[in-house]
This record gives sequence, structure tokens and C-alpha cells, in this order.
Amino acid sequence: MTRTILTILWKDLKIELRTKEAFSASFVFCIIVLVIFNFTLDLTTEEALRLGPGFLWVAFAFAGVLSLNRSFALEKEEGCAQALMLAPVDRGAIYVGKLLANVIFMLVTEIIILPLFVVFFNLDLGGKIPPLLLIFFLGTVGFASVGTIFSAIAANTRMREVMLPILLLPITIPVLIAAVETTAYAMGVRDEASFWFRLLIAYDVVFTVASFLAFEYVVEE
Amino acid sequence: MGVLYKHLFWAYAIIWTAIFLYLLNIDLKQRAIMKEIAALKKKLLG
Amino acid sequence: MERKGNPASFILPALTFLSMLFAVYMVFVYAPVERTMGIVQKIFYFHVPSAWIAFLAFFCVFLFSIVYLMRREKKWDDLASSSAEVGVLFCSLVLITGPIWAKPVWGVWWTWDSRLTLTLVLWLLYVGYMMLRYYVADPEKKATLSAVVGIIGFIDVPLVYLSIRWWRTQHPSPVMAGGSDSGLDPDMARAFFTCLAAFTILFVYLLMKRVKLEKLREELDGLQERVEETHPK
Repeated sequence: MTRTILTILWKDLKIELRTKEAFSASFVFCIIVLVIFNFTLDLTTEEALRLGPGFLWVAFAFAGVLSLNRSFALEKEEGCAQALMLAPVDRGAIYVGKLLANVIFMLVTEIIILPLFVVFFNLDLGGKIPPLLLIFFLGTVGFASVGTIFSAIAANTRMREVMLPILLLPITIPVLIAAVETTAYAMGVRDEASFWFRLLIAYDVVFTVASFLAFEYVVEE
Repeated sequence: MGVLYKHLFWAYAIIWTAIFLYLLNIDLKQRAIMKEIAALKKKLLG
Repeated sequence: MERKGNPASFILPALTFLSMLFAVYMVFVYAPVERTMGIVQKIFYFHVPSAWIAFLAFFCVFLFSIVYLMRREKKWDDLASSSAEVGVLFCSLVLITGPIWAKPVWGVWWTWDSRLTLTLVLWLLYVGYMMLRYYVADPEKKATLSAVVGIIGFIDVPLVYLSIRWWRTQHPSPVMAGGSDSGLDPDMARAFFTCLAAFTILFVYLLMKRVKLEKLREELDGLQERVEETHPK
């Protein structure tokens, strides 16, 4: 099981290291979103701190959709999906491997975007970085847990680029709200976020388990 | 008062029209398919 | 195979029609006019049961999807997809009649109230479900994939509701006076439950009719195949 997971993860990482397609797409997209927000809303530093968590997660969510879309589309195009399904491995292991790869791709973008966000809006986040990273991780796991299985579902449709965001974004509303509220707490704009933190963890657990169990139905041939 | 009646009227009108149109739509489709089925059966028997 | 003479085929529509007539009587003749909201409060008798039907339908999608994944019989998929369609219809009706009711009572068309917002999110979820069905060509793939979305989507409902509720308490909006379910007059309650029952019968009727359409389609496909075999062109 662990070996299959690592093999899948390593395969995806290797492809990404070679092509850098997912990273470059979502990274550039994130910057564009931040620039557009700056122009459309014309923010002061104070406002940026209040609205920043929302911006960040809007950017992360849409960039996440971009990189998730590629996760299974790539397999379909190269005919790898077929080979993967024929391999005598546990479907759950494929899901976990894919999930880990997607979480890593999204997190790398998020970690690079954070300092840019700080610089763009002249913020001072000093010692708030470690809790922020934890929240980024939890939010990304929640988003990618449903995202990974929905990416596999969308890869089977005629309109997969459109289908993924349409299916994924409404379902991730709880995790997005929770991520924004806890991020605001970590940045010091909210004084209380224990409910949201628990919701974030609950969402991660519920949807990782549910998607893990449902994945075998999605990939059967 | 008149405004209230207007709102009430529209709410009920929309609900009834929508349900009626939905039923009508299913019914028309069913009829069309049944016609086709009858034609095919005739073809198979004859 | 004779369909016209089947007694079951007119009992359900007749029952639906009669119960709806009775519901209309209860709403407009029996139930008293509400004091603060006036006559427009009567939207409530059809607005809330519509919401109930939408939730019931989405719960049915969840159940039928699970049964489909276990049994792999087409009829469960027909039931699931038909419930989703009826659910989206009633969900849309809730979203349309909600603002029509809210405007004269609260002075605004829309408020991000937790129930209204949940309905909107549900609408988005199940419109997505129906779009997915539309865009998958292979019927078995379509059934399995949409069953997975139907299950995962429904698991999300309590989390969405919790998060919207909590979000509401942190982002307060003007307090809405006259909550609809605070101390309902017994006559009103009777009218309301009559409507609820009538709508549930209507739901069963719509669902059965919609499922029958799917069955007819299947029969037609089967016949077409046989015709092609026996009468090659």
C-alpha cells in the first residue's frame, strides 16, 4: 500500500519537475488574481489585512482548480489511466498518491504566493507565518480531497475544464469559509476561530475518508 | 395591500405554471415515445 | 403491456389533484390571514413545502445512489436522476418564491439568511450533478459517476449548513422580525401540514412519472435494436 502510494506520488512529482506545467499555470494565475484584486478594489494596507484572507483563498481555490484539472486529464491523454487501472494495486492507494501530489503542488504555489501577497499589500506578518502554513495545509487537504476524486470524475466528461469547477466549488464552500476565517485569525484580524478550526479538520477527515472509499467506483473500467 | 396581493399572485402563479409545464413536458415526451414504440412493434410483427 | 386500463395509473394523479385542491382550500379559505405580514404570508404554505420536497428529493438521490452502487441496476439510477431533477425544480421554486415573499415583508429581495443560502448552495450542487449527467456519454459511467457525486454532495449538506449558520452569527445582518415558524396558530398549522402532505404526494407522483419516462426510453432503445437486427437496412 505505502509503496504504491509513494510510486504514484513520485511519478506525478517527476512529471511535474520535468514539465512544471501545473506549477507555472497556478503560480501565474495567482499573481494575476492578486493584481486584478488590487486594481478592481484599490486597497489600503488596513483593508488588505481585513480582506486578504478572502483574496488569498479565492486565488488558491481557482489556481487549485487549474492544477487539479490536469491531475487526471494527463492520465487520460497519455493512456496512463488504462495502465494504472490494469495494474494490480489498491484503488485507494492510487487516490492517496494522487491526493498527496495535488496537495504538494497546491502548497508550493501557496507558499510562494504568501510573501508576494505580503509585499504587494505592505503587510507585516512577522511571527504569524507558522500558524498560517498549518492553516494553508489543512485548507488545501480539504480542498484537494474532494478535488482529487472530482478531477477523476471530470476527466470522464466531454467538458472537463468546466465540469471540475462547477462540481468542486459549491462542495468546498464549508472548507473555504473555514480556511478564510482561520487565516484571518492567524493574521490577527479575528479574535476567535476555534469553531472554524474544528470544522476545517472535520471537513478534511470526512471528505478524505469518503473520497477514499468512493474512488474505486470512479476509476473502474 | 395591493402590493401584497400582487406578490401572492405571482408566487402561486409561478409555482403552478412551473409544475404544470414540467408535467406537460414529461407527458408529451412519454406520448411521443409510446407512439414510436407502437410503430416499431408493428414493424417487428408485420 | 396495456397501459391505459391500469387502475394504478390514474389513482396517483387523481390523489395528487384532489389533495392539491384540498390544500388550496385550506390555504385560502380555512387558514386565517396573518396579522403582521398580511395576505402575503400565504406564500409560506407553498414555499416551505417546496423546500421540504427539495430536501427530500436530494436525500432520495443520496439513498438511491448508494443502492445503485451496491446493486448496479439501472432502475436505481433512474430513481436517483429523476429525484435530482424534481429536487432542482422545487429548489428553483423555493429560490423564486423566497424573494417574492421577502420583499414586501422584509423590504429586501434577498438576504444571506442561513436557510435561503443553504437552498442556493443545494441548487448549485444538484445543477452540477445534472450537468455531469449531461456531459458523460456512456450510460453506465454516467450512472456510477453521478452516484458518487450524489453521495459526496449530500454528505456536504450538514457541513454547509453548519458553516453558513456560524458565518451568519459572525456577520450579522438586520434582524428579521416575525420568524415564520415561531408559534404557528393551530389553524395555520393544520393548513400547513395539509400542504406538506399534498406536496409529498405530488413529489411521489412526479418521481414515478419521470421514472416511467426513463423506462419507456429504455424499452424504445431495446426495440430499436431488435428492429435493426431483424430488418437490416
